[in-house]
Formats: sequence, structure tokens, C-alpha cells
Amino acid sequence: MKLSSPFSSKEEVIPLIEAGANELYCGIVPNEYSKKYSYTLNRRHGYGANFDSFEELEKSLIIAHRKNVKVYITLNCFYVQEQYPLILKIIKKLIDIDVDGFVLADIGLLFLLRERGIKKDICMGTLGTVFNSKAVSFYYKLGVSRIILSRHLTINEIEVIASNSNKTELGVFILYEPCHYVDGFCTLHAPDTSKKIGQAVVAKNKNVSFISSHLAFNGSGCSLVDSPRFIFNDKTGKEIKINEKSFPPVISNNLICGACAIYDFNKIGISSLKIAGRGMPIDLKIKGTRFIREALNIVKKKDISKEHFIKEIQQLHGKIYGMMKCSGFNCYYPSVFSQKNNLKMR
Amino acid sequence: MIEKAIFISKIANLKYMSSRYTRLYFGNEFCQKLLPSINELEKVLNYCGRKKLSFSLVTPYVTDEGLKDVEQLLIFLKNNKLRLNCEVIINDWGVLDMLNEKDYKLQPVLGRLLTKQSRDPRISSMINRKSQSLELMKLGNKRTLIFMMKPPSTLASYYKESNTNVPVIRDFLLKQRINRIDLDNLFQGINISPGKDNLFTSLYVPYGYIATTRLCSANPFQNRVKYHCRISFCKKECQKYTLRIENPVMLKTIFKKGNTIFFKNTKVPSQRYLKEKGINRLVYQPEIPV
Repeated sequence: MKLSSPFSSKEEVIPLIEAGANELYCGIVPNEYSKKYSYTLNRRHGYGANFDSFEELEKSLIIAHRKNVKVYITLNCFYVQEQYPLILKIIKKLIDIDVDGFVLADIGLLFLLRERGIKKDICMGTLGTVFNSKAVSFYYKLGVSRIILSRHLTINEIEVIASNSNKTELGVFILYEPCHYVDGFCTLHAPDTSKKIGQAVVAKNKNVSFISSHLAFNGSGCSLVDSPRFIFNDKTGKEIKINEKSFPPVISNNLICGACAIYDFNKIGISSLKIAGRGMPIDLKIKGTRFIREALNIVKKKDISKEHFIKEIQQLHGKIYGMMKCSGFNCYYPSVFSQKNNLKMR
Repeated sequence: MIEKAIFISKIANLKYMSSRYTRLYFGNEFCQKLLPSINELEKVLNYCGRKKLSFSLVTPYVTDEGLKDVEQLLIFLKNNKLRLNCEVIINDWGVLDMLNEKDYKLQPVLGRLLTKQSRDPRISSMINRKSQSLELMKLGNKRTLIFMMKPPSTLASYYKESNTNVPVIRDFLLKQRINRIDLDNLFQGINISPGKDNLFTSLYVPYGYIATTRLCSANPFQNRVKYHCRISFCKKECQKYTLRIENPVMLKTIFKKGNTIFFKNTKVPSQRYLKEKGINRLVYQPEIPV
């Protein structure tokens, strides 16, 4: 299984490769684009999540290629007609600096790349909303070489998809940054907060980040829509005010982990594991990459049982991340711990 | 002439039917556990036959298990004795692949989960901002000073568009036998390029969907199971409750029913506007379609 890690500066390339990544991905939003369309070129929102210079990206590519590591560029938003000329211009520059492939969401862009005979690897990201093997077949016919499955699938559902889809490489998310809503079906706007201007002192001892933005909102989308104030009973027609805390919170723990599922993914034939991390600090990206690489080494051990594998992974997780207990709240694939087996979260 | 359709997700809501509607949408877009049974589909088809209504079966995004259920409904629809001219609203590319693989003689329509629009209710006020400002905001858990720039006109136009305006996508949809696309009625307005092709547009009113999930919070809410918004656990509590969310940041009232959140835009565009935009069908939802 390949391990794909995110990066956002050339300084991160070597540490991530040394930690065990054998593929890297990143985003770029050139100023020419952000002036017109803000940060709508990809879904990598957050401080410093994107490159804005082709030169810096090219230097990163040279470093990665020297280590035989492929680099993919995320172009995983949905676009409208007037954006395509500029996006295609950006893609041309990316090809000139020798990127290895693209992570897409938009079928329009996929058609345009194919029309222009661009032969780079095309990966359909989770925004492609693949929940079944027929959807895999749909994208395969369009020339997609790898599909990242939706985060919202159980291990059994992934197994069924994989058993019916032997022509396409399948990937899954394994660590960090969950999305409570299906990301390809979520239209909550992520604020364009990538452009950091500096630090500002707003009050005595209150040092805050200073950014520029076209569209920024207080709070984050998911938490805003999951704090209901009133509940309406459809049968009685009565509406009552409720305590927000009585409602289950969204799954939003950034350190969410799915490493216990690697045993199953290995058996199922999943070909790549993806670590999320738009705008995440480099130390967490390295820590996560090292953790998953180590998990991949453990799963290769001859005759290791699932129980033994999970025990080792949970010990390793404790060693790397401290005392954070596993719960339904920070587990990507809780279906690993089904009632049919005796496996337990840490 | 604008066709008027009504969209219901349960048989009991046939009570909303009136003579102004000539088409019935029935089914679910957001959850495979809410797909109608064959028995329910048969009842609704018979109703359509009696009332001389056209029929559209609404299908959700599905796993392989859900695909089997959708397949059974398609087979039933194909063999319906009334020989109604039936549409299938597609919200999963896999369902389209299955529909086109066999000759079901059913007309596919691109549902609103696959017609990409910017549905966040906050966008309308943000793109209409007339001046620059300096604001202190809480982004996630961090307080941040933001220099709010006036959005460029290109961005305002972007948020009104849909990817179904893109010629290369329209060509593809037509090749896939799709002849209609379904859109939501956005607060910021919509830009549609009424093409010279044969791809028609429907507009859903008054509810628009914002986001959907398989980590459904309806069940843990009712059953008080903390932190377990998970996939398999379902007692269809979504059929009992609707949540109304008033949030000063969200600016508009939003609703949550089951696994999906919605906005409500009661401003129905004028006939002239619809005609200008090439919209020839209005899909009215008397209730949130969950």
C-alpha cells in the first residue's frame, strides 16, 4: 500500500519522505487565480495550506523526484466555464514543472484534460462521492486511474466495492481531518483564510493572526449547522427550545485515526492510504506519516492476527499521541470494532 | 409553459396533491434507508395512473447494497403495467451507470446532489458586500483579525453558476441520455446558460439542500447515545422530528431533518425570470423531502 502525505512547503518534503511517505500531494493557488476567484481552486483552505509560487513548487518536485517520490496536485473543486482557461493555463505550467498527476473532483476538468491529451495520472478525490462499485466503473470508463473512496463507508462496504472493482486503484483516508458531511455533497463554504498577512496585537497580550479574505465567516460551517435551537415534533406539531449540548456534536476531531483498519485494508486490496492535513503543522504531518508507516510495517509481519495487529497499533498510537483515548468520536472506521468480534477501542 | 411538479418522500404526503401539479416526484435523495418499497411504489404509480400524472422516481446516493434496492425499483418501474412515461432522478453516478447498462426504458435526470451549486446561505450577503472592513473573528478556536476585501465581480458570478452550464459537461450528460438537470433556488440568484441543446432545467422550491452525511445524528439524539453518529444505527427517528437552527452567523434559518440540512427560500422567481433562465419545471416540496 502506498502512503500519501500532504505538504505545503519545500522544507517539508525530505522530512515527510524520511518519515515514510512514498507519495506526496499539495495545492497551489497562484495570485493570478486568487485575485479573481479567491481560494476556490482546491479544497485546501487554512493558513499556508497552498503554494502560491510555481518556483517553490518546482524546487519541491525536484527534491521529491530525486527520492523517486511522486507528487500530485489537488485541483479538487467544482468549476464554472469562465474559470477553465485560467485553470488550464495553470495546469500547463504544472506539467512544465513535471508534476506527476492531479487529484480532481470536477468531471468537466477531467474531460478537458483528456481532450488535450494530457497523460498524467488522474485521481478522483473524495469529492467524486464514490459509494459503490458502479460509481468506480463510471469513473474508470472516464479514464480515472485511482479513486479515493468516501470517508463515509464501513469496512464491509469498502470490501464489496473493492471485490467488484479490480481494474481501478482504490484509496482511503487513514488519518486526520474528518468531514462530518459527505465532502462532495457539502456546500458549506470553507472560509478563504489561507492568505496570512502577519501577526497583530489586538489587545494587551492578545496576539492574533492577521489575514486577508474575500469570504470569511465566524466559526466553522459544520459546527454552526449542528447547534440546533428548536426541535419540531412532526406528529404533535409542537416546537420546543432545546439545550445545544443535548445534541451530539459533529465528528470534527482533527486527530481522527483509522489505523486499526489497515489490517482489513491490506486484505481487501486497498492500494493507497491518504493522510489529510490542509494547513496542519509539519510536526503533526511527520508524526502521522511515521505512525502509519510503522503500522504498514506491522501489517507485513508474517501470520499476524487482526487482534494482535490492533493491539500493537493501539500501543503505538499511545506512544506517539499520548493518552488520547480512542472513541467513536476520533475513529475513522469504527466498524472495525463490530459487535461480531471482541475487539475494543483503546 | 412551466410544468409544475410536486415532490413527496412518503405516501401520506399525497394529501398535498392538487390539480395544479401534472407530475409527481417520489422517493429520497439523501438516504438509501428511506427508499420506498415496491409496494409503496406500486401505490404511487397507481395513483399517478388514476390522476393522469407523469412520474419521477427520486433515488439517493447508495452503497452496493443500496444499488440492489434501486435496481429492484427500476425493474418494477420498467415493467409497470400502466406504461407511464417515467423519469429517474439520479444522485449517484453509479446509479446512472447501472441505468445505462441495461435497457430500462427510463429517462435519467441529473439530481441536485450532482448539479454543483454554492448553496451556503451566507454567500449571498458576503458577495454583496460593498466595502472593505477590518473584523475580529473566531475561526475554529482561533481569534483572527481579518481584512475583509470586497469580493471581485468574478467571484460573485462564480457563486451563482452551476457546473451544468459547462458545455463539455452538458455534452456528456446528453450522451448519457440525461435530458434534464435539477437545481436549487439560491438566495444569491442563479445564472443558467439556457443552451441551444435539449437539456432542460428544473428548479426546486422552497427547500434547498446544503449538506448531507451518512453520520446521521437523528438517532443518537433520540436515543441519547453520546458521540455515536454512525452509519449502521437507524430507527428512522428522522421521520419524527425536524430541527430548526437559528444562528446569527448563518444569517438565515436553516433546518435539519435526519442526515441533511436545508435552507428555505420562499421567494419563488417570477414566470418571466424562469423563462429567461430556461427553466421549464418547478418542483415544489410541501415538506422537507426526508
